Amino acid sequence: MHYFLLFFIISASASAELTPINDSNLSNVNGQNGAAIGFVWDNVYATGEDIKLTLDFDSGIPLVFTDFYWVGHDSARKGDGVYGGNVGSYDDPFFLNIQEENITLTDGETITGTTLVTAFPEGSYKGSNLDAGKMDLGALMTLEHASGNTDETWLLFNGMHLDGTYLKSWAPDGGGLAMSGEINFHADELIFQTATIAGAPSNNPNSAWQISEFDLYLPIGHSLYQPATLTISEEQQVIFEIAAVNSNTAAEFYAAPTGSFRADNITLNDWNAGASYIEGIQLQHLKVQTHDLN
Amino acid sequence: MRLAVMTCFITSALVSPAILAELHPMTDVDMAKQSGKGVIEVSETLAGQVAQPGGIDVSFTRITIGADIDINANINRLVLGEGVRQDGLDNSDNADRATADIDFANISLGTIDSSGIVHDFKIVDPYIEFARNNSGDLIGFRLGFGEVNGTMGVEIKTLSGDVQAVGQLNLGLFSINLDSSAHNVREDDITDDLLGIDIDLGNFQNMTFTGTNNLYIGLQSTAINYPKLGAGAQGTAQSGFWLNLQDGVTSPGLSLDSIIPISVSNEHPVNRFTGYF
Repeated sequence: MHYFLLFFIISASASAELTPINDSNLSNVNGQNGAAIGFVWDNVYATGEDIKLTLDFDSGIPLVFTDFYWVGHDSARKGDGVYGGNVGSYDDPFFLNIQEENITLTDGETITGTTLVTAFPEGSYKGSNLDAGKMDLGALMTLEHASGNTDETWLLFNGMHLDGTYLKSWAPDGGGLAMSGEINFHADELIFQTATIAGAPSNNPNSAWQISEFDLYLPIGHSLYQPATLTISEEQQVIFEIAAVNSNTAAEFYAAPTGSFRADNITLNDWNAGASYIEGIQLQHLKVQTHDLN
Repeated sequence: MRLAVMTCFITSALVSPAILAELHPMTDVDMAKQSGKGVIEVSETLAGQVAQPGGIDVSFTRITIGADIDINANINRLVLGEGVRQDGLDNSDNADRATADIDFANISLGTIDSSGIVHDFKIVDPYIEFARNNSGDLIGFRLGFGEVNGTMGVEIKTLSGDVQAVGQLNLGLFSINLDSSAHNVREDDITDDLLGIDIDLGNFQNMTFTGTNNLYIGLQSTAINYPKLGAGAQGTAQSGFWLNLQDGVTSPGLSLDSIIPISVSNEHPVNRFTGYF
């Protein structure tokens, strides 16, 4: 019988008055500052060989995901050799908090609102060693074309963690969902591999698109100067928008950390493309609105 | 099924009543009247449908997201394919600059005018496309856009790809168009198609896109002809990272600094608030 342990660390002050924090302080949150609930997933893994997730689009070609696994780094993907990994630790747990804090509206007005914060432990993002918490995540993606051809591709995230990633959300006056956050994603390897061996990733490196030492840091809005919103239009289309910077918020925006991406090495089939990176990403405005394809 | 442990990711979501209030239930009859293709479309191009260099068989799978993206952004540096190429190719005049297949600095998408109004760079229908050989191996991948409109500022250090841009050169009382192009790996010049004059790509700092389609960045392990979308021109993508940037691209406001060697420049578009350069 496999097991997992889920620990809850509830601070002694959980029933007391909530203590507000701002984004600059959030990266220092370790679940023990003020009122919060910390979660530790200890030796957790999941394998679902027969789970089938089908995304069926109107174009008639469904995307089918099977053979999921989420296991400890370098663990076997099936069988008796499977072992788990950790998300968080007692000192640095996965973190959940409801708090009152200042929110700056796009016109520069600051209000006090209730936010819900979900955060992965800061871990190696802040320099501590969380290698033990790295996980391997994978699934087999199958595309069954109308022609009868089938594309099978393994999507493999090896040695990944999300340390320092957080999402803060609140309900704005105008409806919908407002949010801000940061993505801190690392993977030792990202591999997109042709499934030439049934039920297991191929060992043929020439069949893969492989990205080594992948790091992504991307701020998504900010509650103090650039809220992001998620709404549904009258036409039932999804609208995601990161508010435009304006003269009221420019000073804080330009002083904030910028986004970045880096891959130490990228290979595709037998071509080694070397390193690739993007530095200094500043989103001054973003609006994504879906529409039906014709 | 063997499911050892299932866990639920805890995500934060405060869904206001306003979201729910805007949703309208559809009956099966109403649903049957809908004829749209949905937000995401998966399409296939069979091997043999697009002629390939060397006559190899390549099939393609494209996933298109039906979305309008309005973006205003600044990016300090974009470097793709850094290091010595496997084939050793380098067509730059200044080898010190050719350290990557694509090397852009000070990229701006959109502008901010003197009144502080933010003008977006507009993207329609982004897609990703995978190329496979007849063994099913991945040999190419590209990120492309159905159409783009707006202003982009960039300092091009090195470029690999097919680029064609009309540079509008101001000569005092009149201006002339430099219809220029580059089609190679690790180039730092663009050549005027009529006069044969080489112009440093670093001078094309202000580009305007008008209904530009077939814009993509790809990575290939071998030369590939991707399926052509729209009316825009498109050549063969060579090994490594490759940019296709043709048609509907102008670079207005070029100025002539000297005659021999010809040197032109234009100013980088403004995309920051005053006082924050």
